[in-house]
Amino acid sequence: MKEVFTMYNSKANLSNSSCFDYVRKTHGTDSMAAAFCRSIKANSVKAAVALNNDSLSFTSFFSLMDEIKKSDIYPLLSKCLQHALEIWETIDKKEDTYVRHVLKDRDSDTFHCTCKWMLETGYSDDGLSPEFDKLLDSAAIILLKSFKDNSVLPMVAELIFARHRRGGFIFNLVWGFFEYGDPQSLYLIASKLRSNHWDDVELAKRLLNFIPVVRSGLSTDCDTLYLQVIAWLRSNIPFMEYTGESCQQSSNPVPYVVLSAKKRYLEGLT
Amino acid sequence: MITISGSVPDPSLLLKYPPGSVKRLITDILHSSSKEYGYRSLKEFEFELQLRDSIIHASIDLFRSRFSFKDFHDSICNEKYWERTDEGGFLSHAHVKPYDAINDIYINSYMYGTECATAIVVVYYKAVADTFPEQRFNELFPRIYLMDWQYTNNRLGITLDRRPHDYLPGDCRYFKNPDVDPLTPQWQGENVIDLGFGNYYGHGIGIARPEIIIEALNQHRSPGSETSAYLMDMVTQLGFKQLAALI
Repeated sequence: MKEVFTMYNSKANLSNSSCFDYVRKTHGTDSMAAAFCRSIKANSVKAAVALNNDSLSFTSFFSLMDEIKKSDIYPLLSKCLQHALEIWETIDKKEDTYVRHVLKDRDSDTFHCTCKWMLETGYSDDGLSPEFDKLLDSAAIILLKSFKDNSVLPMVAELIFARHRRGGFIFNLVWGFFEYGDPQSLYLIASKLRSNHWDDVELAKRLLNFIPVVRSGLSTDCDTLYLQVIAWLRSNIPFMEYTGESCQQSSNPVPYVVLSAKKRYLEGLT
Repeated sequence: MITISGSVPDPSLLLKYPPGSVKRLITDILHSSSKEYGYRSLKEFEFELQLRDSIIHASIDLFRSRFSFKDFHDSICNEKYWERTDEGGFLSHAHVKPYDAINDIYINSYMYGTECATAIVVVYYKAVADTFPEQRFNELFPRIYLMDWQYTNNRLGITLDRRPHDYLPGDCRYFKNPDVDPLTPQWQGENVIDLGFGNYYGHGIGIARPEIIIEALNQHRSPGSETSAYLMDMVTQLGFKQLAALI
């Protein structure tokens, strides 16, 4: 058993991935869980070292969470992995855990890194399970709403459209995306008007339905519509304000409004 | 002000409904408003009163049922009548009568769970089902997809007024929780039905006065936040006149 684990480790090193990721991708999730259980029994410290490997993906970690919770390995985990478990505990058991207190502290670099790791290494496996998707959503929302991290906006936009294509639940992600509150982010949605996937185009139109040229429905050509939307955004973004409206309130929420000339004058925007 | 066929109705209309009743309250609000509420006929006016009354009864009945609060990831429904979609919504089966599917939510309420906006849409469909003849309801709404405000049938005529002149029992209002805890986005706000007399029904909170609903939402704020939830001015309504023409 030990030799097999060592062999996986060597092959993983060659492919620059953690051994658990390597096992999951080559032999499946069940084999990975079995390898983890064997490694815990053989040497929990070495198992923790393998888990704490920087190249471990959130997908693999998520798939091992039940086994990790059953073991006594928690104190040996990195802060990043401990935070990931705490986020899950908070959502799953709806408890007021350490997570909520950390969210109060906007300077928690480790927590920020945890959420970023979850999203960056997990988003390509979106759809793995409802619980997994929920955790990705939470990581994205925390990054956008609590840490105001705009570096993840493109990834979240891609996640929204990819999940929508497969019919998954997107509203929390969309809400988190808009909650970032910067109208410049609308360019990411507008770019989908030229997508080769018709579902992307339809969703982009729905999300941008507050823009007059989109709402009018007059433009049938997507390229023309895209250029019209870009032109409208360029003219109006300096004067737009986030309203906070979401799909929970309306079938056609208006997330941004253009400030009136009077309000622009009063706010020194003219 | 109320006008029916372009004329102010006989004052006896205003006294037709007993004091303390929802229909009397609605009539009083419309009559005393500075805005003109015009109806093509007495029948159209009475239809709106009846449908608003049905909305309130549907709200109270849903509150009293075992219909549970769940976010879209965990929503549940009776698969005999509904298909639960990947995004957590409920689509009525093509082979079942929509009237039966909507009523099943009330009959077997313990088998259903979703969030607040979808609950309001359930209330709306139930109210319409209770007001329309069964066959007509099935003709107008052959397939129903319950997924908050998305995919509602155009025949319901649902509209959003961000600056309404008056607030009436049967209207849907919205309490916003601007500083919601990012781990509980389902509590970013609460859709409620105005039951009249200062009470509101919101799925997940219950029947309560505004301050109680605000207090409940404030329990789900980001740690350390002191930004309170609040009741927004906006109103969502069924298209009463549109539906009156369809009955």
